[in-house]
Amino acid sequence: MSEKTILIIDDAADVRKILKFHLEKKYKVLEARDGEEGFKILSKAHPDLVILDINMPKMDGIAFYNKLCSETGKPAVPVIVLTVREELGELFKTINVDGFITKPFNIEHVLREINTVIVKRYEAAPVSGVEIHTGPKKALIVENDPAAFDKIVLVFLNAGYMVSSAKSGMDSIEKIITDQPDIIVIKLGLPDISGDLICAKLKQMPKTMDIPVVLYTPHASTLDKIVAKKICEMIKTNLIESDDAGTLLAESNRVLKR
Amino acid sequence: MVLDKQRALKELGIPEELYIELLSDLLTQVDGAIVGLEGAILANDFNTIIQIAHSIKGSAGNMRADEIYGTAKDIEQAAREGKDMKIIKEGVDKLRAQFAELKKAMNRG
Repeated sequence: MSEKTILIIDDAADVRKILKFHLEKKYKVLEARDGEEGFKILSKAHPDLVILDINMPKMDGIAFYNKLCSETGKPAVPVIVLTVREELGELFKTINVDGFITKPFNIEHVLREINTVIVKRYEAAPVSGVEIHTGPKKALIVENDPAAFDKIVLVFLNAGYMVSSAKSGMDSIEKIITDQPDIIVIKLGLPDISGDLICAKLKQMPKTMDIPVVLYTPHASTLDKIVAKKICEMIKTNLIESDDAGTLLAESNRVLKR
Repeated sequence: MVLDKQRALKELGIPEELYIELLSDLLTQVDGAIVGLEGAILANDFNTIIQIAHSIKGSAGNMRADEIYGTAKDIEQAAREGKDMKIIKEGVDKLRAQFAELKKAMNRG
């Protein structure tokens, strides 16, 4: 693989210096202090990946992203967004990028995220059917009803899963991005963001697109089910019309071929 | 803890010299930022307060200067919510004191 070029757009000099220190070992690194400067560099240098901060003077990250999408409706180059945790949920809903990094960051997470995007975008796909991870599977359970949540968690723990949990869509997004699970068991009707929307967005990001999901609903409206089923078709999963813990476990096992 | 240097070095994976350089940048930044915040409070300028506090929050967070990070975050949040300038001024006073502590910690090495 030829040397890839990464453009860092961030007004914070410390962030640029830290990233540059690490990335220069493997990539060609370009820097810009705001979106406007970023665009000038982008048009001349054609980077392979952009790392984009959101809060910047002159042209901020959202304006940069919108301009980048203006021709085809999606970014012409892979983008990883740098954001504070408080803004992650809103950004996740409104923009389509290849990944997110929350600040203050841990460099290991950053390098893993960048590597994942580069590999998925520019290198050959990994050989399918090869199971590398052989330890217990990590399931993220996303359920806002405490009683249903407790039942599901208990059944998954008893079945030998490592369980992490989220009680809202926002909470789940942060967990998925910072601590990648092996499977996501997510309710359709969450109070803040619907489960199907989260699933659809996850399937667009290289880091999360291969994580299997089990989407379920104990009692959704007919319209919600129709929309959810269409999304399920698109992301190749089933809509489970129950929140019975045993049913969700069986479906998770089936999906993971356990 | 005003500064968690060991955690910063571990989580950022950078050499100590680079960390010290970045910390010096932070000190310079906060010095000017406090003056800027005081001016913005007098001018009732919430947008400038948000920008300055956000910037300090980011750099302090990177350096694992957790107390300064927390105070800058509170100032930013208070300004976003349009809270009473008295509350924001209290935050800036706290920031100034924490900043003095940070300088002392740096001088101690």
